[in-house]
Amino acid sequence: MKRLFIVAVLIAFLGVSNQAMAQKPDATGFIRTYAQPGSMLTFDWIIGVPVGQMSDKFISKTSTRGFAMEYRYLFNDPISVGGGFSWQGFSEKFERSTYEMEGAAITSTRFNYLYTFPLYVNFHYYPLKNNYIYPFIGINAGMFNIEKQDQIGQYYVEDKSWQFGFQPEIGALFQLNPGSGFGFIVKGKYTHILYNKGEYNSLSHFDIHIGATFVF
Amino acid sequence: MKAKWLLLFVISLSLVLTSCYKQQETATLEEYDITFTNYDTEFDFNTYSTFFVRDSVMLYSDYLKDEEIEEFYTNGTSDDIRAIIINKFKSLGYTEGTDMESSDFLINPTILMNTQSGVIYYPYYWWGYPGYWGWYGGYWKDSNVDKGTDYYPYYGWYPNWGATYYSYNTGSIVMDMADGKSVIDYKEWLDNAGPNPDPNDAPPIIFRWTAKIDGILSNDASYNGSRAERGFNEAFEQSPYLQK
Repeated sequence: MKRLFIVAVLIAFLGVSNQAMAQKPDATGFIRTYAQPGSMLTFDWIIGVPVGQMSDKFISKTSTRGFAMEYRYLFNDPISVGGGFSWQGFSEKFERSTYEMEGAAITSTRFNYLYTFPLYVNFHYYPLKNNYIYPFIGINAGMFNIEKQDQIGQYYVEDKSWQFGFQPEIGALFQLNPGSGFGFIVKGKYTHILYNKGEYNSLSHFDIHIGATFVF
Repeated sequence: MKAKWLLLFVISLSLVLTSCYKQQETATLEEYDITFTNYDTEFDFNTYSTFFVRDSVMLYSDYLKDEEIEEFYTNGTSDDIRAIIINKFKSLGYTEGTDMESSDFLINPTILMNTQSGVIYYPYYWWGYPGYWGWYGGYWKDSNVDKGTDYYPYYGWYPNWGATYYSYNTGSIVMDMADGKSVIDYKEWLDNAGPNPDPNDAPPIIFRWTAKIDGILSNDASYNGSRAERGFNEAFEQSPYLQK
């Protein structure tokens, strides 16, 4: 958290000091702050909140361990395409308790872990033009590398697999100094992983992203 | 401009990469302890009346020295554990039998202290260990079990259960409850089967209930003892059907 704050301050400072690079508005009054057409990289910190079956049956605790790195190519039309990857770690400990099964019972502490590593393509649409705030809606879709670990006491069962998943999202890009090339990104997204195993149909979580953007 | 861009890029990249690590939930040693029981759901435990606990607790270890194992039997530890088990079953309403031949069910207590995982195939090990019941030779199979291996009896009935519970690690107490008549039948078969009996012909030993208390041992004997006691109590709390 502290590191993020330091990076955010650094980015803001360097961005504001770069007045000389400001661009002129185009014919529609819009400053192409995100260098349309052009490329953009984002680095995000992710806060993940499990929902649905994942929250009900596996892990309900919010995760603050996650990051994403994403590329977008912005066209002249208000759309972009790209790809990226992310990593998130979820975990939760359940205090010592007795679990009953057919003809058996077990008493111990449970530890559940889920690590996700999606590789995805993305598509975004930018409905508004604004010099400082650039909202978007979009979707990511791709394959998620899953490491799901159910641990009871010292024993665990692990499932490592690749699953299809998608992530509709909404957010905005911000620039304190239009044309500087540095900015921020804030977005919320819903992650839905098709995980049809055992008692699950899916693993899903809601994520908040906060990050930095670089256009080039 | 380019230098600043590069600086921020590197900072961001290092930030995201250093956040990519697996972190275990914090836990104390005792939180890894497991108490597990399984039982024959078709059986009415109220129909049993008498029980017999084997004359000593079987201690198997792949790291204890012979003299340490011998001390376990000579310093009263084995007898103490046996007495605790007998008192527990008495408190549940069962009567201690005079010998195994005349008892409805038999309790076989075992302690495992191992430095590696293993899979135990019933009933060779429990019921055939040389020098204890005086039966056909003992059998122990080690296996480097990584994960997800069910263990099951080599032959004979054993409750089927769904959990993936795969090995003993460092310290375990196991109590098996076998049907007395099935053990006697097995013994008679062994007595009459000749020098090279075919295990496939053996009558099944019927296990009605099994309890396993499993943990990682610390260097503190009293801490280990209190955890074992907790596990012992949990095993019977899990088994309210054990009642005469």
